[in-house]
Amino acid sequence: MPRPSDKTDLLQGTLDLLILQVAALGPVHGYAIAQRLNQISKEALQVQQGSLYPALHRLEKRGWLKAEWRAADSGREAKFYALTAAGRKRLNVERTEWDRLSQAIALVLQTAKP
Amino acid sequence: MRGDDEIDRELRFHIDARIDDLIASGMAPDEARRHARVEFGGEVQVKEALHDQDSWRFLENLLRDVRFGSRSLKRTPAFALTAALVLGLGIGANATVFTIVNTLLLRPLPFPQAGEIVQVERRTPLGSSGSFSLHDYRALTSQRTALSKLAILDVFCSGRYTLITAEAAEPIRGCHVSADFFSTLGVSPVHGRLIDGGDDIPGETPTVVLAHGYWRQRFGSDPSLVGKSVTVSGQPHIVIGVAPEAVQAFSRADMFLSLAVPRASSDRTNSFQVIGRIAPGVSRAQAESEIDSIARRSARAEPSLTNMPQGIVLHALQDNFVAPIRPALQALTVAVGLVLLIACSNVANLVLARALVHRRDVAVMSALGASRGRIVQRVLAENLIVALVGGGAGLILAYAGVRVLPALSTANMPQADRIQIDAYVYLYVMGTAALAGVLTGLPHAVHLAGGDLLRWMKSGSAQGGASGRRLRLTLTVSQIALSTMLLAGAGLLTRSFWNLATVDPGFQADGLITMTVSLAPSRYPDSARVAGYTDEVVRRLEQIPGVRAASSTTALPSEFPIDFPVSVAGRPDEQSLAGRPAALDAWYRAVNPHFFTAMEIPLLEGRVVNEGDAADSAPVIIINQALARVAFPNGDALGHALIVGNGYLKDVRDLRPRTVVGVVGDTREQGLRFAPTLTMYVPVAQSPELITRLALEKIPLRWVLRTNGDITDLLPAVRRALLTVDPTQPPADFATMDEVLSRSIAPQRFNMLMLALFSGISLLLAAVGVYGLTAYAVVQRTRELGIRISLGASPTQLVRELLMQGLRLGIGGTLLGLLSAAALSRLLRGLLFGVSAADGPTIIVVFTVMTSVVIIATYLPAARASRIDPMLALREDVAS
Repeated sequence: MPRPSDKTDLLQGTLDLLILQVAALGPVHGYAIAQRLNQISKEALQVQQGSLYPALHRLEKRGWLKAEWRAADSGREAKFYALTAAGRKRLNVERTEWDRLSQAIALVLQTAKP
Repeated sequence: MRGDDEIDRELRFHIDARIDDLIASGMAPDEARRHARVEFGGEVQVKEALHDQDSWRFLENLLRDVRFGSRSLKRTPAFALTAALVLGLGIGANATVFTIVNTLLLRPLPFPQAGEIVQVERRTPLGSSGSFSLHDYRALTSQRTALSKLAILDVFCSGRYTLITAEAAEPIRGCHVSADFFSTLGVSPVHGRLIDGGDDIPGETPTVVLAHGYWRQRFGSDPSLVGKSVTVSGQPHIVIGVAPEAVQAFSRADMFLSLAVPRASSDRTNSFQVIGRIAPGVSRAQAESEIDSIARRSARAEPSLTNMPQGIVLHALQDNFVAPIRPALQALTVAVGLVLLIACSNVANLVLARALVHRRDVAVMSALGASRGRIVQRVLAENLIVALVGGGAGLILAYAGVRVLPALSTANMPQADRIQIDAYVYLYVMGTAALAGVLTGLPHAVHLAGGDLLRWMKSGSAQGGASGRRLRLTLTVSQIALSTMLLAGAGLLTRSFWNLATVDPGFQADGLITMTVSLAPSRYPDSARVAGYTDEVVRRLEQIPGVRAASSTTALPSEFPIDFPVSVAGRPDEQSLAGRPAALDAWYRAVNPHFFTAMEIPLLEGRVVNEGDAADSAPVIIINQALARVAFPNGDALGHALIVGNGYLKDVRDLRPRTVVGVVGDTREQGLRFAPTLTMYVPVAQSPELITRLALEKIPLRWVLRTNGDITDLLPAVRRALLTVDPTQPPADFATMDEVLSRSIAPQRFNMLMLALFSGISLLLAAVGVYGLTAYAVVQRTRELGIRISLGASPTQLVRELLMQGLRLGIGGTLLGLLSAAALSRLLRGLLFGVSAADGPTIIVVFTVMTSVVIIATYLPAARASRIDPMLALREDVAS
């Protein structure tokens, strides 16, 4: 699959966390998620549509997101994703894990400084 | 599809929203649309990725892969055909053996609650025996509760009898059964009724039930036969019904004759077998412990009459049926398993070789964004197609196989007509084919999934990647090893069979004709009359040109023994002979004077039976060397007297001492497997009355004819001679003695042939594998070899190098195979004869054959390498 080489590839699994996090703020459609991730990360994280939509559908199938068609601000029909109760739990789990992981990595990087 | 529609709408919204944003940020609409599209990337790919998550999508992909696979296979028909054929061979062999196993081992016998039916056996010091006497049957049946049915029937449940109808006398196979027989099997009549409680009362007119097959073939399924009278063995019987077809799974008898069971019997001759049905809700162990204690109680109460002092053991009827062939079937199952593994390994090698050629397909798929999983799936799909075609070929092979196999086994396979291909076999073939498909694709798939795809695809034609080469080497070595295992097994069985077949039987089998005549005891009630009949037949037979000598006998060599105790007259019973009890069991044979001439059994001392040994002259006996050695260790047999049947026979006249007048050579008619049997020969006229009667009731009279003409030319004259003496006693079962003997070792021959066949297939496959590997290596290394030749390397040196590699492969694989064979030899132990599982000569032969085959398979393609034109080789590589 063609990938832009100058952007950071998302770690496997982190995209799920980010999507859940964005969706936690309220029902949101795919385009908006991509835009938000792009803006918030100051354009460091470029989410590929080829990854985004499969991830959304996967999360929906697992019951962490629920989808609903309704009109967006532009008036067009869009598929909005919202966090379910199970999704909220999942988000907490993923966050804790992420925190642990990043702390661990930070620790290694600090203590193993040359 | 609704899902597709929704995905379209969702993605469209995304692009539209982006276009809106871009226009809002000041871009021209056209430019914005173009930009958004480029940014979004391949819409198709996104959809593809979405689809792949769908479980239905998996099947859709599979279908597409199958279509793609069959197209791609059509482009390489040679590969597809070879692979399918090789797998077909392996699957076919497996399906055939499975069909037999399925019928004989897995499927229950065709009786209701067949698991409840048991064969009752007496415990003996060496295991157990299924033969019973009327006395013991009566004792067992009296107090039982755990066995709801208990039936007694002839121990050889398809004995020869003569049926006399209005038109002619004809030989038939019959079986005497008691009232409980059919209810033990749980079958109902096709017509009339079956033998039941009213039929086993002594003194009543005996009844017969026809077997279904015999009724159909002989009487054209005529229902009016029921109620009619027929004459069997000179006695009128009433036909009461027709047994269902299922009974043929138990016995091949044409007729079931009612067996009169006296209320009490002191007959302790073990000439019957006993089967029973366990009452519902009772376990076999419970039933066994009950019947066992009944037997022991009876044995304690009547120690002189019992034959079951050690109690009773119950075997499932089904186990008993298949016990003799179970070891062979197990060995065959393993053998065909190995053949399939070799076939898979062979095809896997082909697949790998082909994969290198078709690298570009994979490269294109990968470049178009297919995931690794999808590529592996496509590869497996292709192999599955090949394997399924192979499975179809295998099924055809199996259809032929199940016809040929039981025929090869010559009637030694019980219930051979039940063997047929059913739904389970189809399932098995499908399963095996699927397994084969995965197995053959696995090495390639693992390679694709694990290795560095890009590097592998970029690597030129040089080696096709070191790991690919290693994989192919491993597969080839495994083929050699597996094939060695089969070859070793076949070698051991061949040696066993050779040992069996070349045993000197102690008589001359060539030119000996045998036949049987079922003499009706009612017409020939005593030994004198049997002697009169046989002597007259002998006289007429010996008048036929081409017949040099003829004699009747109680049993043919290799047939079941009739043995009786024999003791030396005047020697106290308690005295032991070299640690053996005074009463020995010896095979018993009543013979006419020319028996020894006909058989060409050498006379060692004294004389043989002659015309003067009549009923009223002094009783004589001839013994074989083995019996002489045991009974008369001092070598003074002649002149001593023997008593036959002490403890069995009651008549004083029968128990007269018989003077030993001759010692003849041993006959090892059953092969080395049985030590030379102690045998005694008695003139027919002097045969004990009870033995004559028992023998005639149970088994037909055997005849041996020494001939020097063409056997088939003689038969009409022989038949005429017999019918002239007594038209109601027709001959049957004409055979040469060679046939009789070879029948006795038919199971061994069958096992040997099967393993030889399978190892031959495997050897061929392994040779093809080695050939392919070397040929491929030569092609792959053409450039290298070309350079080396152009730099002055001699072609022979190159060939030697390739041969050395082949030799290493061969020796390594063979050693590995021999080691594995040693681990599996346990399976063969029961089938071996006169040879140990670690037989030196066999190992040497297997090693030599295997390495020679490997060297030849290496040499053929290697020789081609030496003829490489260096210039051509170099140019060729540049071009590719």
